[in-house]
Amino acid sequence: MNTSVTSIKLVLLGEAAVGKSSIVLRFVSNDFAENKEPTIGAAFLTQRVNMGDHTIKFEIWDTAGQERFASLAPMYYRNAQAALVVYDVTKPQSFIKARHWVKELHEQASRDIVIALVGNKLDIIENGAERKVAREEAESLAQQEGLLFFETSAKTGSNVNDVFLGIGQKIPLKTAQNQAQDGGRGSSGLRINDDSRVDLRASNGQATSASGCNC
Amino acid sequence: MFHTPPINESNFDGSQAIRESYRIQVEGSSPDLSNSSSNGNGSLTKEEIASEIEQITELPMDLSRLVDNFIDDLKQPKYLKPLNAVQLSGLFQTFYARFDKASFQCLNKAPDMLNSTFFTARETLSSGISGIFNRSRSSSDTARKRSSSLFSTDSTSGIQPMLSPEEINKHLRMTELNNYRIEKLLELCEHDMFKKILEVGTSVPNNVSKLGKPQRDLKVTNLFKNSPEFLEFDRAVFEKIVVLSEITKSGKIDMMDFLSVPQQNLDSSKLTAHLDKMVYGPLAPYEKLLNVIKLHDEMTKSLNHLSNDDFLSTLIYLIIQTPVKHIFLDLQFIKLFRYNKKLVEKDLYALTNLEAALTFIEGLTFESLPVEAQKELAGDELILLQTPISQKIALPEVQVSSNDSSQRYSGLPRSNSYKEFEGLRTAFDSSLRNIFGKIRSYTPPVAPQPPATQDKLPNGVLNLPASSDIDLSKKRLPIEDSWKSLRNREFEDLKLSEMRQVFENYQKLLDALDSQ
Repeated sequence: MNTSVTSIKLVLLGEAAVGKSSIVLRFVSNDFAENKEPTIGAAFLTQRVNMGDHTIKFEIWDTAGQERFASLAPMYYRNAQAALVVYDVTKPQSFIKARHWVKELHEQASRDIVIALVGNKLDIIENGAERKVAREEAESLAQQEGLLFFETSAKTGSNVNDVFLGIGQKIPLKTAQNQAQDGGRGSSGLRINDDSRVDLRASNGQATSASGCNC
Repeated sequence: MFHTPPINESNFDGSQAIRESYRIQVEGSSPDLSNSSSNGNGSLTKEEIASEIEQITELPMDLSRLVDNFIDDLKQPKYLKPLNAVQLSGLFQTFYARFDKASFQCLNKAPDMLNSTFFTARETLSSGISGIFNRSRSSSDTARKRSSSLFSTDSTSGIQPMLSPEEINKHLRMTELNNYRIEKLLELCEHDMFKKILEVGTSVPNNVSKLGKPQRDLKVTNLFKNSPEFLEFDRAVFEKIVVLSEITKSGKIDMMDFLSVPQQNLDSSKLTAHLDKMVYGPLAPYEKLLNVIKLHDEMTKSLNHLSNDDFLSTLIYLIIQTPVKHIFLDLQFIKLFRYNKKLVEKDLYALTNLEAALTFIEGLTFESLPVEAQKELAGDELILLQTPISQKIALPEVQVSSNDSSQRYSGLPRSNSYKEFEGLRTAFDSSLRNIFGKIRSYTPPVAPQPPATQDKLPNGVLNLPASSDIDLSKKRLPIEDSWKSLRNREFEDLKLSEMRQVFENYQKLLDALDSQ
């Protein structure tokens, strides 16, 4: 009776082919297999997780990782309460991109968004491939920016569930529910006190976003 | 479980809180309803839900009357200026919320949904929270009291017997079932509403037309009639899609390769049929949205291992391959006129994908095409692909635009209080000129303005002669028009968010004065 369900919109960001969808598929259905094509699409998935008294329902939004689609990302992470920024531990470029995403999220996404930095494809390293992104480097980024940090292997399933449990623990449950209702409260409109000029547009935006979406 | 709006939370959804508190209390008192769920099992099977929902084929009379009233209300020539699409959307959304509440009451009051003693939403709304609570307290129904003591602190007398797990399960089931029922009713509501608008046409006496001239076949475009920027944007998007489509067909560019669409056997005609149906099918936003969802589902099914990496490019490819007129406008229509509260989860995701695809096309310039393809382009094609459409045509700020991360549907208050409508009228009047002024002043297609000037120019009073009726002489600071929207409101009617807005304006004024 007391289990209240909190919906959390979680958005997946990261370069193409770093394994965003694989992580989610592993989390949702636990059926990662190298040659077996999953039967379901991974573009939008939901998964419930019980956390003590609460049930968290993750609504997972995948984004297209190609660079040319990067400018469309704000549509996807709008009102998101959590983000998974994924990179490939064997591809330095993907880590650079991950840095960008973290920066952009801090600048543009909801203010209290919980971000998890995830280095994926750990299994390749365990099989002898060369690691190109040092764990320490990622850890220090996570520390600076206040991110959760995990290294995972979607293939073996290692650490995948911990990512989502970690996010679930860090989400302030009480506010999560309000947030789910009021939507864009944390978005750009709130940051008007940063400077002293009369920011007319900002007041507009805030007023409307306050009364706007209550999904 | 008793929801009290927190004082410092401007965005607390009062309507929902009331509904939920109310729901739990009332459910115990409707034994007829509980009986319909035969076993005490807490969860509902899909079949059960489907069979329940199937029974609802039309709106009960009372709800239907609400729809009629709303349409009649729309037709009243009470606004001095025609409403644009965004403002209309605000009215619709308010009505949806009202209808939502009314259908909940209807379900609880009248399990068979034929009960004629249904009270209208307006009545309830005017009596407000206290009205609802009084009603439940004054009830002599023991079942109701018993259940309310379980779920709230509102215990009226001494010891009450606890509810058995079965009873609790029943309540949960009923709540769930009612949620589905309400959803169904809302769908019917949208359907009926737009059907009726279609039937009665949208003509309004005295040339004070909101939706345009008498229309026998109302299309989405008519709702946007007073929002020229939407129409223009829509036209530009379609033009661009057609050009891209022609370039692709003439072999000047390998669009499949350019978008890195996974090489699969796409049944593109079947998939794009959904887009076509979205535009030319039934008018109700929900029905249009269904087509988007179907497209989403079928794409998910037909393309194996589909992450959004593939999904988006495939979708863009499909749109370019089969240009559908007014696709952009229909997307905006769904966003504006579908009940926002129900536009969530997968529905919203599917819609966002479509929006992202169109935004990509809208922003596509020839520079982003492969070099070989650039050389092939003819002059007029080059011109069309020169700049992103959003740089040429500015949609109103309330619109969720391509590079704007915040969701802004409407500047209109969306509360449920009926008085709001009175307030709206004046708010419209005072701000409309400014809104229209804004629309016409397209941003120049060349270099984007520095943000500092942009903030003031489109809104500022200084460059808008239309606002000269306000005493300019007194003012030293430009006054944002949205500040004035509260001018004619009663203090008692202000919502928290509005008070906060006022306070912030006050702070900004002080800041501005300090910095001078």
